[in-house]
Formats: sequence, C-alpha cells, structure tokens
Amino acid sequence: MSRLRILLYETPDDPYRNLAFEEAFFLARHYDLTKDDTLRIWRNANAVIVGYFQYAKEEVRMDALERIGAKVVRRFTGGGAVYHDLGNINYAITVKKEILPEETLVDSLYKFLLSGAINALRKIGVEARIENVNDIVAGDRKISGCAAKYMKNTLFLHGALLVSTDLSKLASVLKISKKKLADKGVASVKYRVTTLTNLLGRSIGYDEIVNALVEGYRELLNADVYFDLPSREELLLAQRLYKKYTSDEWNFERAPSWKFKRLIEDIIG
Amino acid sequence: MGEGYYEYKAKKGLIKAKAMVFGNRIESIIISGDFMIHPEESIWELEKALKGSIADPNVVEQVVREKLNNVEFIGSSVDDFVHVIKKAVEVALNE
Repeated sequence: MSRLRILLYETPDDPYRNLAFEEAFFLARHYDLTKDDTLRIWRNANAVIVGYFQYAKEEVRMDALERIGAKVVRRFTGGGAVYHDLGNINYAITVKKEILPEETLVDSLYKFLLSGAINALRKIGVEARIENVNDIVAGDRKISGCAAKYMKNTLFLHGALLVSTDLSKLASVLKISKKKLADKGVASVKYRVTTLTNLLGRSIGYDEIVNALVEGYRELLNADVYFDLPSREELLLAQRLYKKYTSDEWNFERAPSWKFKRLIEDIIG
Repeated sequence: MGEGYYEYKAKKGLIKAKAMVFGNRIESIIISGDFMIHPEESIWELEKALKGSIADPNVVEQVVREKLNNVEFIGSSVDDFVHVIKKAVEVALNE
C-alpha cells in the first residue's frame, strides 16, 4: 500500500510564504527531495490569488482590496483569481504519475485528483460533482475551483474550497468579466458560488474539513496516511522562492517562472 | 504604431490578447487570462515568436499553430488562441 503524507503547514498572515511553500512542496516531490505523495491543507487570512497568466490589475479591484487590507499574490498555475479568507480551505496534492490508473491526459488528471475532494464532501453531507473540467458544483452553485500542473512524472492539483468565505468581500475585490458572467447567465459572481455553510445550514469547523479531505484522498489513493512537518528541503526551497512571491515583477507584471529559476537552481540541480 | 485588444470566452477560460503593431511588424503581443494550458511556458514562447514577425493574419495563424502544436488545452483549443490573437492584430492594423 502506498503512503500519503499530510501537511497542515500554513502561514495565513503571510500569503507570499504560503504560495512560496505551495510551489516548494510540489518541486520537492518532483525532484525526489521528499519520498511520499503529499496532501497539503492550508489557509490564507485575507488575500487575492491570481492565476499564472493573469495581470492583477485586470482582475482585482485595488481600491476594494486596500479597504479590506488584503494582499495580492500570483500563483504558479493557470486559471482565475480567487479570494481567500479563513473561511476558505485550500487543498493541494502532489503525486507521482505512476499512481494513476492508466496513461492519463490532462483532462482525466483533473477528474482523478478532484475525486478526493468529492469523496471528502460526501463525508460531510454534500453531494457534489465535477463540472466544466475543474469546478466542483453542488446543486447549481460552485463551491470549489482548482488548477493543476504537471512536470514529466509528477502531478499537482490545488483547489480552494468555500467553507464559510465572506462572499460579499469576494464579490467586492474580484473583477469578473462581463463576458464570463454572461456565459454563466448570472449578473454577479455572488450568484454562481456558495459556501458549504450555506448549503448545509450549519457551521463547519476546520477539523471537520481536514478529516474529510484526509479521508477522501486516503480512499482515492488507497494509501496509509501520516501527518508530517515540512522537510528541511521544502522549507529551504520556500525560503528561496519567497523572494519571487514577494516581488512586484511576479505578482503584478506577470513575469514568467523561468526568470526566477536561478533562486533555486543549486537545490534542484 | 497601432494597438489592438481582443478577448474571447472559450469553453473554459477567458483569453485576452493585446497587440502592438509598428508598420507591418508586430512590436509585441501579450496573451493573458484565466485559461489553463500545459506546459504553461508555451505562452511566453509564443509571445516571443510573434514579436517582430510580420503583422499578417495568415502569418500570425501559422506561428500560433506552430508554437502551440504540442500544447494540451484545458477547455480551450488552438483555434481559440488563433482567433483571439489574429483579431487583436487586425484591430491594431486598422487603428
């Protein structure tokens, strides 16, 4: 039976470090600096995370952002901007490709790795499904979106799960293109997303989500799970990548990843 | 110098292109949005390949298809990228 390592490492008040660590634990797995597939569960207290191909100024209402004191960080995966507060719980998983049932195309990578989150939701009483490749939907509302990356033999997927996020703040800081809203047939992003708290009509604690996600991915990967702390190599990579994730060049000017490769070259070879 | 912008909502993701054209040459192309493709770095390679090329829609289409040939698209297609980038160049040429 394979082993699934669980990391609850998070720095909610420092979203730059959280995102630097996100890339670090994926790279550590890819370069075999860590030996087991890893599920990380983490939160940001107040931040907007934009996709790799996005310009922050096009996606974020900077005046609203300043009003609520949130920070902008760009991530290393594609997809759209998301708002994170403590009511949003992120799940990120990195695995070696050989665990997949068959030769897998990118579309089925999403389907396979998102199934762990679907399992988790079922455990807390939410029947959800995957729609449009990378959305998790319950009823007619989206509750989680995700993005993925793969490098040769290593797969990575991370998603944001709306547990009790402040949807008014979310709607106030994100600029959503009229073309996208029209495509969804709604007037505001508020009307196409919801939270687990709204769906279930009860509050849901962090521990309940963590347990459900751990169990959901344990089932999917048929693995023995163990909780762990970040490795020395992961922390070192994150420390080096911190310079990238705190730079305006990365967060606001959409600089490519290769521009920052020198920061970690001596670690990954 | 002409500047052209065009955006298109693919099945999954919004693709935006901003083209700067000087004379009959493309000065720069910026492709942004919330689309997902693998490998991601293909977008920077495409932008680099288009820079300095002739601002002719047929040439643009050829470059885009060539540079995105081995890319995996999540909810979009090479045709979507061709459409958006060609349109942005056409807008810049007609400005």
